Amino acid sequence: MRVNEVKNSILIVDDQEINRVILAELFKDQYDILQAENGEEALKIVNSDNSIIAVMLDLVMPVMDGMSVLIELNRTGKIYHIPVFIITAADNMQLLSGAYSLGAVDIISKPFRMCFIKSRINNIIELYRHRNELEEVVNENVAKIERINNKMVEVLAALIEFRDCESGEHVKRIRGITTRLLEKISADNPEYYLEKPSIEKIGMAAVLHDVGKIAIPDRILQKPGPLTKEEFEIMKIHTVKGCDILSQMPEDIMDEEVYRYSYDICRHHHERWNGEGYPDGLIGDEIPIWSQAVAVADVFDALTSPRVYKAAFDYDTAIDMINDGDCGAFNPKVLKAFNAIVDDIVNLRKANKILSVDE
Amino acid sequence: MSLIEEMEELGADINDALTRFMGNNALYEKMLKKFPKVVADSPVQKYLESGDIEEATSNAHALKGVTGNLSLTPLYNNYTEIVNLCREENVEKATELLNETLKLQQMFLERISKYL
Repeated sequence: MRVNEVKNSILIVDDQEINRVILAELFKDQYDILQAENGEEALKIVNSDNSIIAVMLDLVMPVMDGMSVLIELNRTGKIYHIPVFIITAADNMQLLSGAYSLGAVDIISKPFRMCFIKSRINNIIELYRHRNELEEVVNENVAKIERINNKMVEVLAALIEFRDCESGEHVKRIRGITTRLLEKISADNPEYYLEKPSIEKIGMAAVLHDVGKIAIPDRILQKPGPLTKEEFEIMKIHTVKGCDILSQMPEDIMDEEVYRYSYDICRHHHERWNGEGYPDGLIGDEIPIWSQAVAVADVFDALTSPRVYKAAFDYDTAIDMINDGDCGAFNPKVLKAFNAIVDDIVNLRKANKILSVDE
Repeated sequence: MSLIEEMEELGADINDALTRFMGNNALYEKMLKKFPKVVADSPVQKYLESGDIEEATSNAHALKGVTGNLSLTPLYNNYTEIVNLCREENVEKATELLNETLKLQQMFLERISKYL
């Protein structure tokens, strides 16, 4: 919602009714007028009413003075969006300069000089309104850039998948399975606790887990049968190559946190709990939990999808294979979480949903 | 004679006041009638006598603001000076000027009370 559609009140704070009435009279045709007798009342109104477009604030008041109000408006950051005018008899320069340094925008001196007050205040309200609108536009654009970045990463990952003769849906499913799996792991195991925004970033990073496959020759990547030992050694390199590619991504595309997750996931999504994975042979929790989650998600999705070298396994067989260690050993806590959510994943896939995080 | 004219007779700057009240005579009179309450709520003398300079200053300050906005110019000028004297902690001179001001103020209050 645009700022100027909702904001249209002025709050007048002065312990003397006479002073309030004069200002109210001046602005009553243009704005709704709210009044407060002291700072405490003023803060209550500011905090509960988001229609306020400006505050006129007396400094010397009982209960809570104007300076305390300014300090509080600074603390909450409201002073940045709502212009505060100091109503004062302008006889204490020290107090006034203190008020300015706390973000007061202008001084209305008593006795009021009416010919200037209205234009001055209206001009500043207009400036703030404009600035607030611009800020909103900037925020919208920042969000848009973030969405575009996410899409670009998805497209990049999908390109790799196409070369791998996949549909591009694999990376989207990996994202959905990984985030659901991590939500469960995080909820059940305090040692693996992750904030929700972090889990979403990991989901984004999971999309890139196979980006290093771009460096693997077609004859290996698209070979319709089992790989020879030499070919498998080359295939393994995709984990490390993925990290090389990531390290060349501009910082604008990926924030530091996503970069760290992507790096760990590219490099370690083929590590196994017992140390028998690659490339580094990490053991147990040496493998970051996000890499462990992507590993299970990747294996499950690969088993249940047709590949150039194999047909798809049915869901129950795939689940058994994972639990029996046929695809390498996994963390028992991760397996427990996987078994708890796998029915949901299967149902979504049966309903032919892509399983991205948007669902 | 109207309340506004009586104020003018005592030295109030009526044109200044009516500009401030957007030419609304009724509103100006209404606010003038609230002046006695402001005076009663701001006992500068009491605080000066008890030596509470801070409270005396803040009460004189309130009266300065209100008399200014009501354009009760002679009172406004005096309260401005009283605030300054209080800030300098010149209690003796502040008290002296206050006593003079209270007599003047009494004249305003008596005129207003006729209309209450």
